Order: sequence, then structure tokens, then C-alpha cells
Amino acid sequence: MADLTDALDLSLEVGELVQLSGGHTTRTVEHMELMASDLGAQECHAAISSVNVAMTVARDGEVLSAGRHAGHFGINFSTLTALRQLVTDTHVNGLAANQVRARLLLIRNAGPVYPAWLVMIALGGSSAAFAALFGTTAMGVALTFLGGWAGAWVRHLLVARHQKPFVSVTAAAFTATLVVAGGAAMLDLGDATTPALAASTLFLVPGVPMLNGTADLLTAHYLNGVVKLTMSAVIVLSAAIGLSAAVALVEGMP
Amino acid sequence: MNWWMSLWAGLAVLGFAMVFSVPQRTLPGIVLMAIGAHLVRSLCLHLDLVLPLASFIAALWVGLTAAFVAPRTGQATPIYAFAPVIPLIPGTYLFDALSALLDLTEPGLADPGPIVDVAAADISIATLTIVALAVGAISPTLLVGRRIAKIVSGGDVAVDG
Repeated sequence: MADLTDALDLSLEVGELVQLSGGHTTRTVEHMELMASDLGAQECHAAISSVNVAMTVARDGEVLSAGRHAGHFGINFSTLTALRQLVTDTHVNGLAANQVRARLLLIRNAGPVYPAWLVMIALGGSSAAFAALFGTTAMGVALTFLGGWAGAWVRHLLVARHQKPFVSVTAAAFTATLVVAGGAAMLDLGDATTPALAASTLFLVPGVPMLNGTADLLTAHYLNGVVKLTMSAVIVLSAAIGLSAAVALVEGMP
Repeated sequence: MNWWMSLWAGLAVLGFAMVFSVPQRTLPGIVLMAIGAHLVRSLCLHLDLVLPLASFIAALWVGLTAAFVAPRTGQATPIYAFAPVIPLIPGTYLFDALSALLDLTEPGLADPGPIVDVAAADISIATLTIVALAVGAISPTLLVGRRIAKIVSGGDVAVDG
């Protein structure tokens, strides 16, 4: 049976990684408590806030508590799958603490699943596909691809410089829309402009925080749900500001 | 209704799936689910259902399919439940609502009534649709995910999805 300190430490690490990878609160709690009990805790209680994970474990009268900061809402579903597998393996096969620690180290240090340049091209493709779904012309699709690709790079570079979503999303939306609106004005796209503009910033849709926020509300984690939905609202508003500024700039040009 | 337009949903989902860092082997399944979800919504709209309800049915289909496919393939459920609903985001309604709101700020606007009506209708449809997508995609996992996973994997399930 693992040391109680190991049960506490490793369950906290699991919780931190689930939270950082885009898991909703119920998933985080389940993973942490299952890991702690499989490593020998007789009682365990996880507490998750929007920026922290905390855990209390108990065995034979000994009680330990600790917390970790896990504030950044990243998204990595491959990590979620790896953690799910680890928790399942620990439960079914009874992995020892050092085995769990080694696998967590591998999960934490795993490289990106896709290179950045490929993701940016794919996001340009997503924007272009949205434009096609909304009924623009072939030229509108091409312009939206360019806009989405450029906007995605701007967001990627600003996020890498630790800019807040308000800055990175506004700048990305401004760039994407400027390319589309400017190109549409130069090429005189007419009615095809509106669907292209509507699609140009959709790569910024905060899908995961919105879905996780809803999941938290539906599972009675109201505070965490409201935090995630508020974050989504800030992202949507930032995109709207960037889009509006770019459209106004293009309309104001001679 | 051009059914082949739904193929674009498969391309639309690719970028988001990559941003979400889904495993490479799951990409074909996600693309097929996005196309399927768009087809389901198109069919519902063809049957004269309103957009939020049509989107809810499509998202529910995605959520249920994910609840079956994810445990079968040993993946976390969000991999199949989240990305395929993103091409169903009502982008044109969001854009039209924003445009109408901006039109309201123009100086010397004589009759803002019709613009307010347009903005209110677009915001309502967009908001209800987004809520419908979120609830539809998430609720199968939350409500019956563990039960489905037990049936699919034929044994004890340690964690949901």
C-alpha cells in the first residue's frame, strides 16, 4: 500500500493535469478521488475551484491536506485520454505509486500532437468551411481561409507571450476580419461578403469552456460553471470588438 | 437543401479537433460525426423544426454517439462529444445580431424599432441554439455515460467517459 503522502501528491497531480487539459469539474473530482482511494486512502475529498485543486486524504487517523494552483484552462484531449487510462489501470491492475508517478511524468512531458503550422492551416480551413456553409462564393472561401489562417497565427503568437484572452482574441479577430473585409472590398464581393465576415472569427469560438461550463452547471458545480461561462463571454465579446473595429476601419477607408 | 453542403462541416471540425489535441487516429471518426451532426440538423430543419430544437437533436445525437464510441475505443468522451458540434454554431445569427447592434449606434437613426427587433430575434436564436448545443452534447455523458460504458465495455467502469 502506498504512503498516504504519495496518495495525496499523485491524486493532486492527476487533478491538476485534468484541469489543465480541459476536463470539467466532475471529471476532475472523480479522477482525483479514485486515484487517492486506489493508492490507499480510506477517505478522500477533492475540492476544485476555477484556479486551484485541493485534496484531503485520511487513513488510520492520519489526515493530510494540500492544494495546487491550476489556473490556466488549456485544452489537450490526448492528455485527458492518457489520464483516464492511467486511472483505470491503477484501479483495475493496482499500479504502485512509483509506476503512477513515472506515467504521470510521461504524460506531463508529452510533446504537442500536431505541429503549430499544421493547426494554423487547419483553422484557416475551418474558417473557410464555415464561410462555405454560410453560402459565400469561392473567392469568399479563399479570403476566409487566409483571414482565419492569419488570425490563428496572431492568437498563437500572443498566447505564447502570455497575453490575456482579451488581448489575444481581440487582435486575432481584428486581423482575420481585416483580411476578409479588406479583400472583399478590393475584390467587390458584394453579397458574398457577409457570410465570409460571419465565418472569419468563428475559429475563436470558446467551445470547450462553454461546454465544460454547461457541464459544471448541470452537475451543480455552479461557481466553476459560471467562471467558465464568463470566460467564454469575455472571449466572444473580445472577438466582437476585434471584428467591429476591423469592419469600421475598412468601411472608413476611401 | 443541398445535403452535400454537410461535407463542409467535416472540414470545419478538423481545425478545432487539432486545437483540442485529439489523438490522430480519432480524426476520421470526429469528421464523420461532424458531417452526420450537420446532416441530422439539416434533416430536422427540412422537417420545419426551429433552429434551436434542430441543433439540440443534432447535438444529442453527437453526445449519445460519443458515449458509445469513446469507451469502445478507450478514449475520453469529450474527444467525440465536443468538436463535432462546433460546426453547428449559428455564426450568421451572431454576426447579424452584432451588425444590428452596431447599426443602433449610428447617429441620427430615425426609427430604431425594426433594428431592435432584428437584433433581439437574432440574439435569442443564437443564444438558445448555443445552449441547446451545449446541453445536447453534454447531457448523454452526464446522465447515462457510465451505464452505456458498462454495456459497451462489458464490465466495471472506473471513471465516466
